[in-house]
Amino acid sequence: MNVFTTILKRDLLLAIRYRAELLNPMLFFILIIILFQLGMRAKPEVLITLAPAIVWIAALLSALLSLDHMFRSDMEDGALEQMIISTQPTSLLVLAKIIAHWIITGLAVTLVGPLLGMMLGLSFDATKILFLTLLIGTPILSAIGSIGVALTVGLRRGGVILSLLVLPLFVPVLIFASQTVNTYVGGYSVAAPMSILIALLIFSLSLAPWAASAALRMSVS
Amino acid sequence: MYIWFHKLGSAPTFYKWSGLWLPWLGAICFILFAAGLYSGLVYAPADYQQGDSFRIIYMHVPAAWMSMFVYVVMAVSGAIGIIWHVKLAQIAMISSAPIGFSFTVLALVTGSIWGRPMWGTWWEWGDARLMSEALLLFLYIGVIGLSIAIEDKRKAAQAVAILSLVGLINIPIIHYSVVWLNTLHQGPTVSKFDTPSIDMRMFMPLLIMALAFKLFYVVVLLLRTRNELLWRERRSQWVKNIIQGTSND
Amino acid sequence: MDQAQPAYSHTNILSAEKLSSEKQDRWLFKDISFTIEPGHIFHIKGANGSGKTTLLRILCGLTVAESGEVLWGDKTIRRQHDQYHTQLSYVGHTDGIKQDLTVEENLRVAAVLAQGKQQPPISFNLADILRRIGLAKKKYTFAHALSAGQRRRLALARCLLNDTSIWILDEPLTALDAQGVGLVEDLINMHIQRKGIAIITSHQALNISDAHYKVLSLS
Repeated sequence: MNVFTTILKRDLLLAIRYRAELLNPMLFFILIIILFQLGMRAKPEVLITLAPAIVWIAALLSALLSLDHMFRSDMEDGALEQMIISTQPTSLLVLAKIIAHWIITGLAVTLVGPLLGMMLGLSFDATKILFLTLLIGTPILSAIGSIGVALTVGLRRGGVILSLLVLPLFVPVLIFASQTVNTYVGGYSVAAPMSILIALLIFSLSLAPWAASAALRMSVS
Repeated sequence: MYIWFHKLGSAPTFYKWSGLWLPWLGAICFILFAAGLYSGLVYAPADYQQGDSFRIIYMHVPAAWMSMFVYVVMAVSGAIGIIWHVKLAQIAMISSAPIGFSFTVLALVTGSIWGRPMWGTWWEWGDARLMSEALLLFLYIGVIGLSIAIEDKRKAAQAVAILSLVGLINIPIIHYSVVWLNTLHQGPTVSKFDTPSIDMRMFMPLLIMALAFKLFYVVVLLLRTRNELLWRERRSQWVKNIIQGTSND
Repeated sequence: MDQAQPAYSHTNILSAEKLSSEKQDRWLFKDISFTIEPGHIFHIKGANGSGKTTLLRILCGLTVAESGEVLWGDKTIRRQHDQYHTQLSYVGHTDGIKQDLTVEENLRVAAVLAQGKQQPPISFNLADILRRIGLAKKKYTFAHALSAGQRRRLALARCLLNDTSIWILDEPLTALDAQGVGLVEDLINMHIQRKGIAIITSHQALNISDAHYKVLSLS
């Protein structure tokens, strides 16, 4: 536990002290949503049905943008090697980094997204559901994304191939999360997709650190 | 048993044995294709709903089955390759990726051609199987891209093995999510791609073609693996013997 | 300067058996074998690109050799991963410290990583360690505000955290001034006297007595 919290605190401290990391993905998130509205000039009724998808796609893309810094600086200054050499289980350290990444990026999206959803015309109740999907879904993005970053951190232009690797894996989250809101608006029960999202969260948080640490060992060797 | 298996994993032994098997496998594959195509195009009766245009399933369905099958083989041989350090399994995994990719492209193209007379469009977003197949295509592209991007062969094998195993776990999740998405909008649909399985005269050619495709995969995999093996071990004695024609095999 | 400290509790012979490593289809080194007894320093020499760093990383378990084994005692390091790594401190080419953390914060993170799996946190005397590496007044300084030599010494400080008997150091003397070099040599000497093993690469010669000094040249 001590190990987990130390690494978590370390990553949070580093992010606070280097604020560009925090700001860019958030600005990107807001910008994408604005771009959608500008490009679409859709009627309000149509915009409401599209709103959850727009917010969620923006969340995906901003997560993608922010993933790179999860391991890159640690790789470059040798801190990653020290983590792998240590007797502490690498997957525990990776889990701490995933949670730190979510706090730095996904949490902000979870808080700001619903506001933008309302701007797109969602009702207050639908926005609450959107908030829940973001709360449960954005950590999944950090978890799955960590695998992709771990595989590509050693590559020179890893960012390009990172998107290719990670976006197909994001698709189920996108589908379940964005469609949950529409299901709610349509008057149906959201129990099924919500429980699937929760299941995906538990699943990805337990397996992703494992896969990511295997990939990190490969990248560092 | 273990020694036999281990010997099979040894490069020169594999090369020799695969060289002996290949002509036979190739011949059987050719015969199966001929039989399958004949029975599919000529022997099977026309479908009462779709007429003759349904016959493309004899390409589409086996290709779709193979696209999944190859992915599973790729992931499993990747796991074997990195857990037990069997180089041959690693090579088989990397060689399988482009083959699986081609099957997926074939499945998508034939699926689109099949759908055109029925949907009126070249692509139907609402079809769950087509969407899953499209995402499978991207999983393959990711695997191939990663294997090219990493220069060191051993690291590439590890990376691809991890990626394909992660992808393998995701495939059922992706598929289910797309299916669920469609039930939301259209209610339970009868997928146009349900195979007309009732009439034996229609089903039999499908089985023959499926077998033919499988054998085709094995033949191409063996050819590619042999090539890759020769290249990787080009500085070793057994390869030099083969090149110079001094080998006994 | 410091009083003599007792020998390390977990020492063993470190040996390599026929290590070979490839890089892009050519051999970096082939079938290298050597033995290092406790209380010795092993200096790996060679031109740039001859594989010194790769050999060090293989000994750390970061990289896997194409063939051959590294043994600690009579078992391979793969078979005794936790026991071996609890005894190991590695300082690579890069310092392994975060620029945006202070000296103290960096050491606390390193201490957590050095603590054994499921072991209680290491108790270490921060002030004492800072004094021994010559950063006594820099406890709250950010790492990016240190000079390159000071950062190198901070990187080396991790060896002092948990009584590790094996130190693997890649170019430890880089960027150090004469005083820094003397400081590090003292630390290594003390380590050797406590029956520790030190494996280093360095372009410079080290001031260690010949009886405890072995050299391997990679060509």
